[in-house]
Amino acid sequence: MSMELWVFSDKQLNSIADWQAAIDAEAFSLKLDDSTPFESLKGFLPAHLRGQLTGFECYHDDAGKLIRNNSDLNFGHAWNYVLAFRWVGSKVNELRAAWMAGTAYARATGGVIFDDQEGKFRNATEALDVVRDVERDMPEIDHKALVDQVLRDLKLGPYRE
Amino acid sequence: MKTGADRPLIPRVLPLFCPVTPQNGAPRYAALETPASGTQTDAAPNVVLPSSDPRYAATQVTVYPSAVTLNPLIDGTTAKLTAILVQVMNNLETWPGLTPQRYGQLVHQQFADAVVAAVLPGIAANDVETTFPEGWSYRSADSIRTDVVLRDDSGTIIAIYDVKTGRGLEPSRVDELRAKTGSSPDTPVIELRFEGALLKVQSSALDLAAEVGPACCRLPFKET
Repeated sequence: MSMELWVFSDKQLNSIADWQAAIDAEAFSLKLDDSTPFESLKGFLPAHLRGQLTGFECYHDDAGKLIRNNSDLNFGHAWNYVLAFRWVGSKVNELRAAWMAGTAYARATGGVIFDDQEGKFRNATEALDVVRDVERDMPEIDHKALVDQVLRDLKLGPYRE
Repeated sequence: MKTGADRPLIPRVLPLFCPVTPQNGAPRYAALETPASGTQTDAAPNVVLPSSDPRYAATQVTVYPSAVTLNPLIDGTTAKLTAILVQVMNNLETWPGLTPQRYGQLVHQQFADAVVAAVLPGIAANDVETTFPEGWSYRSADSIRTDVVLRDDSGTIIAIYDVKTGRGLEPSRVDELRAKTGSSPDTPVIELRFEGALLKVQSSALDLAAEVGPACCRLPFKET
């Protein structure tokens, strides 16, 4: 797993249903699977984004330990809780789902999002800009040509001598 | 509040991942570049402060000596995966208008596709972005996913690779990766990462005696 964000907060939501209500209030087309109780989340949380199966990993991490391990960051204060979101970096729908769910959770709990990619804190309103950005279509890229170029440069795969 | 722009550009190293303590007290790094010739060459230990925008800085690879396991298969694979990641970054760095999140997503996508297409020894197509515990499906609640796992001839996982485009892996995550993949507690979890255009490879299997620097980078890519 590669891409991550954390939501630091001083309170938690009580259930997936509460979280879903927060997501609905943001008008995101994301439906969380509610088969695992919120307090038991410790891995992949399935979801549907506009009807397509996706999801992200979700963990209740130790806020104190995370803050201590990242002493170079200014967390503002010692938050009580942190909810960790992790997703497979290549899957754009997981990226979108994680940011939507994280933004809604931050809004509902008055928390802040730490964006691992940029090393930046955002409140829920600021995080909405990221959601809007990742919601846009990805640029047209010839993935096969790029992969071929990488392998050709390194003489790997079909270009192996 | 301090943001990412304020943090040091040299990757911070978590205690668990501390690189080998050098004689002069400063971290040492083994650096290499990937020339278009298709082979990697050693370069003098070097730390380059890149642009804070990973899309526009020249690509440079930094390898933490602690990532070297002295297992030829693992070290050779580390070198190849590192080179693939660098080449992917090189090809994408001129794409304009990409935000950090979208840039990270594209790097991961290209990297995954390239690793599958490279057909590296010990890495089958289904060893890239795999759901664990073994046999669980993508939709399984409480599962985890790995970027790349390397297996020996018997199918045992001997290394777990994680491409990081943000901060370092937390120790708890390393433990979780080992536990849910069913690998042994001393299985190297090697982080392929960049900050700006710096990429470091680090392992939680820290072995202070294993500082052989760029040895893993000398492996030729012609071997199959």
